[in-house]
Amino acid sequence: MTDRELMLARDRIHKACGLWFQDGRIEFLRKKLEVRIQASGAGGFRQYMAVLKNENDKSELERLFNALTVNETYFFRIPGHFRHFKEAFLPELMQRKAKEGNRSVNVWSAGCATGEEAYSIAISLLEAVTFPSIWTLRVLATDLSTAALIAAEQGEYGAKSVGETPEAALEKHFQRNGSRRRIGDAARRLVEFEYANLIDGQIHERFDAIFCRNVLIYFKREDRTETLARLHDALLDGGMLYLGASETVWGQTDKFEAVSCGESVCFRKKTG
Amino acid sequence: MTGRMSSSPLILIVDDSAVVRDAVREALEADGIRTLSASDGLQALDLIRGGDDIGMILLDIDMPRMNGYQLCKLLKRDPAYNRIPVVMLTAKRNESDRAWGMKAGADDYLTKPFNYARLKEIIRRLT
Repeated sequence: MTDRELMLARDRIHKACGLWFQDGRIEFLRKKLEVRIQASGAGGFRQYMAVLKNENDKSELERLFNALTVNETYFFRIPGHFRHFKEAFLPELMQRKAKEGNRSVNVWSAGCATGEEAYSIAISLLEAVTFPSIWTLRVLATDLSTAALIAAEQGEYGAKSVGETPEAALEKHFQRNGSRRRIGDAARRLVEFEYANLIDGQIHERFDAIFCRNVLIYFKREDRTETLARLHDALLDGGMLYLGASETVWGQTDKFEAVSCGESVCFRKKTG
Repeated sequence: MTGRMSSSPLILIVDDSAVVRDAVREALEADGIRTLSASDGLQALDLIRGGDDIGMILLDIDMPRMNGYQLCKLLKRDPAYNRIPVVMLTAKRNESDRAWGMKAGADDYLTKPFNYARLKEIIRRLT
């Protein structure tokens, strides 16, 4: 593949699904494209571009999208986020809500892939609340891969996914299924999986916290700014935004304040 | 046989592509089937709640503001609307896309470019 072809492919992919590959990640794109061109049997670059342009069959575009966004994910990834969420953010939030007589907590896992993050949030909610039955706890988990969503709903994971999960949480919130672990009903009941896109304005509710980790890295700068504005709108005042380790709001919006959480950082929506 | 259907259900076509909406509308109206169109799920929801007696919904998936899966799930959970047949009409051909549509409550799932005879047969069966 020539450099010119690679640039053409980069623009085509951005146009088709909004993913953007910065210069620093362009060789990753080249490698993945070469694999897909080969695997699809398209015969060459030009033929492959024609396959991607087919408005009536988006299956190869989806396979490429999945290959390009494949993310290493596991339960309680970035432990500092979950410690902060469970031990600092939720107790304060619940105390305030209890006083207001509003016993509901709504959290969004945006870009949930196969569900590890969403269920980690659900487990944290269950562990932060003394009497879960008097609260309405909900996690909306969205992704653009229906294959990932179906796996997420099944909620069954191998050893690698639960490797960082504390033993007590494993015992309490999972069932054994041979060498695999299945998420327990209490956590599962809190999570609703939905197919939705971050930039098309398909989410019409508001959240106490949003986890959107390792999603913005795939966006062009202007799309990132727009997405951050949408995430800001979707948060209630004082709501918390957890981004991936290499992502930030700095330089793009001043509507959040940074909060330190262990080895990482999260962002609180400023009030007013 | 004139090709006209015995009754004329009102069919709501929901697609963000005007080209697709027009093509489906022209084909259906040539057969005497009345149609309504919407360009996304939210607009469709307004029409559905507007009180027209909609006999069936032809629903694209990827659309701004509210996608087809979201609209389908919303309707199928609502006792006022869950009897309206929903047929997904989409370029999403993966088995998991179809499975997610059926989980959302779709009554059938057609991929583009759609076969008009097959669509007519589905309309006959579901309306």
